Amino acid sequence: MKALIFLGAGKNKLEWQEKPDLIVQGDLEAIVRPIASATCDLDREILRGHVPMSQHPGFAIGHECVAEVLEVGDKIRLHKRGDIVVVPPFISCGVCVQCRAGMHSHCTTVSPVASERVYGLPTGKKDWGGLFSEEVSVPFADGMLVPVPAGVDPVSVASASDNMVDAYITVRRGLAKHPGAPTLVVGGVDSFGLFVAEQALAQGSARVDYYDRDPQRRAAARLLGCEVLSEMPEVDRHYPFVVFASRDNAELEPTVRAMAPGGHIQLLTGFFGGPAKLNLWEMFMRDVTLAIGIPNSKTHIPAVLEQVRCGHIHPERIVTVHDWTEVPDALSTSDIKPVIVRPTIADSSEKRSIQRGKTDASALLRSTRPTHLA
Amino acid sequence: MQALYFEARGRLTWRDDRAIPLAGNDQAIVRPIAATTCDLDRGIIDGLVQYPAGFAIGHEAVAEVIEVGDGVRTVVPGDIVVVPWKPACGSCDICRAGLTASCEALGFKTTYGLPFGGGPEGKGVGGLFSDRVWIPFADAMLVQVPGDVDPIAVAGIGDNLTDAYINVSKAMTRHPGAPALVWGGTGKLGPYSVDHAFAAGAPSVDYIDHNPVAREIAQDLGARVYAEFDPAWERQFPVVIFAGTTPSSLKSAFTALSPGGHLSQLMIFFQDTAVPMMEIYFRDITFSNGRPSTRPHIPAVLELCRCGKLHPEKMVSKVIAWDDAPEALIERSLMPVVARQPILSPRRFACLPID
Repeated sequence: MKALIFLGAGKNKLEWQEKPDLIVQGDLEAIVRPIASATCDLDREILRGHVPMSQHPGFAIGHECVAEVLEVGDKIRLHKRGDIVVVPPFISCGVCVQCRAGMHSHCTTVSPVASERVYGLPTGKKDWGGLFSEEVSVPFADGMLVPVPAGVDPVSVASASDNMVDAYITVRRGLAKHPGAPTLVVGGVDSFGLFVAEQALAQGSARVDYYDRDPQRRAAARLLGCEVLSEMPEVDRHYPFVVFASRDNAELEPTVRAMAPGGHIQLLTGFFGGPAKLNLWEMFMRDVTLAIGIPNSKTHIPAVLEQVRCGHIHPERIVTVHDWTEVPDALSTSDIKPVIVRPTIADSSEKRSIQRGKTDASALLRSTRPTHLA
Repeated sequence: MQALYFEARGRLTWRDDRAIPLAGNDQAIVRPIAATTCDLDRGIIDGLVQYPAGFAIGHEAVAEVIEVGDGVRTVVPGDIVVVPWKPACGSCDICRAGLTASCEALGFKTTYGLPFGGGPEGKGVGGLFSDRVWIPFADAMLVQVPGDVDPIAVAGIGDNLTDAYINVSKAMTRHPGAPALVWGGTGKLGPYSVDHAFAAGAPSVDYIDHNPVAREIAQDLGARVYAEFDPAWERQFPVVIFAGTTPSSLKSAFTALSPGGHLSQLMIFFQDTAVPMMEIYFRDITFSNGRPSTRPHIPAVLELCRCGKLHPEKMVSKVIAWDDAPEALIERSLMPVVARQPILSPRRFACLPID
């Protein structure tokens, strides 16, 4: 099978490399074939050499995809060959205390450290594979995979693994505290700000003001129904809910100033890597709450798929489709959200030999403990 | 009238000051009878916080009502009441949303006992170590102190005691029954937070403070206490309450959060402050930081005190006769309360000479 390997920021940064075909090695595992893969905004920054992950080449990239199930282990109850599923970015068992609390991204079964059990990034430990590759192992298929309902185009939800669901959670938190409130989105990364803007409109924000220095994204935001700002708004104590999706630290202070008293701010860690500062004095004067963190994708992906199925959000307006044979070039375009597709094969006559390995992931489940009780 | 002025680092004096007169139906004049220093005041007096000197200090007090306007319905002269640190109207959209700290009726920044201007003449609204204090919205601001609650014990309820309640509540409502880490250092906010965490149902509280007096109180309340944070400590907490004093300790406090945890920040940092972004990103945390809107919560905190769920009397480090304030407040002390007998109310402080 072919795996898409990141070779370091530069001219020839990505390469298809031939790797051994994957086989199901445990009862709880599945092998899936990504059929619509997207770049997370972090991936784009890795390719541009902007983030620390850029300095650790040699890993299979990609952690957003819709895939076709090829093979499943003996104890898999929820999925079968040919199913179309969303693959979450983080490895999670589905049955530990954290997973049952809906905090799948903080599953403790494999490792309590989220960055050590994620697809498509340099973990410093095991390489879990990347979601642009032809085949990927899902160690806990029932605990991780989410079926894509009939009527939902896999291409439109390729990013449901991470950026789309992150936007959903971000807006849900903010508007739960401030229902119907006007929202300010400070864009700057490739797609997240736009997903947030669309979510805010879908979840009832009275108006969404979208600021971004990039004219292409401003145009996209206008199409989504936002009020578009080409200058950072110089307002004081105005917006109850703001989302900071910029990588420019200097834009944080005017963003915090724009927050209404009691307001809520979500920070995309646009500052991937270096230490960043918070404007604690301005936050103090406004009595604000800040949220920052990886999304618990598995828990919320069904809600996002349902939004798409019902037509409440239209991610297809943001994505650009490329055939997998156009990679690597297609990932270096200025597309807001490139989605790479490859055909399904499960309904073809192609046979796969199934060999059983010795590892049984269920053994890992027995040692599960929540971190704060450790 | 006499008002206590901050003159310079380590120097307080009584000054003769003009009282703001009663000039409206909904106003009142009160006379503080039990006033204390906010942890911020300790920083000002010790010269750690740079404010321009020469202002009437003090924004935590229980007072006796002396005079009320014709339209005031909820208090009469002789009542013993809490004065919130912030003059707020109670009727604007911001106040009705429970955000009295941000009321703009007298100016967004206007505060008792701090040099932020505002008020009827733009010169501020005075401090609470004063003989007469102007209350612009008596019904909206003042809260009756029940007869079985000691005004000296709750002298800090207009700010720190309720600030700690608000911040502990923000975290504990997200994580009911969770163990809490409280990081002290500013003064009484740490021990107050320990008390509130237990009252809110934390099964255990771990407490870090370099101040042995505060540690002793926290231990007496049931906390496990530590003088320093040990970076090798691997325990993580869904609830972290931070009232430490340095940016580096705030960083450590973030790393003590468990996934999904909440950090409530009570310290005032005047500068932009570095936080460990990647670590908190991978933990998925929430963080709150703000001037506390105490007024809406003061009745709840008074009731917790009345029922014995809180023990604010433990934080009182000394009781000072009113006239001795300038010298006595210079000494470092966790919670020095300056007190005097009421003049209209029959209530009397047993710990003070009775006239």
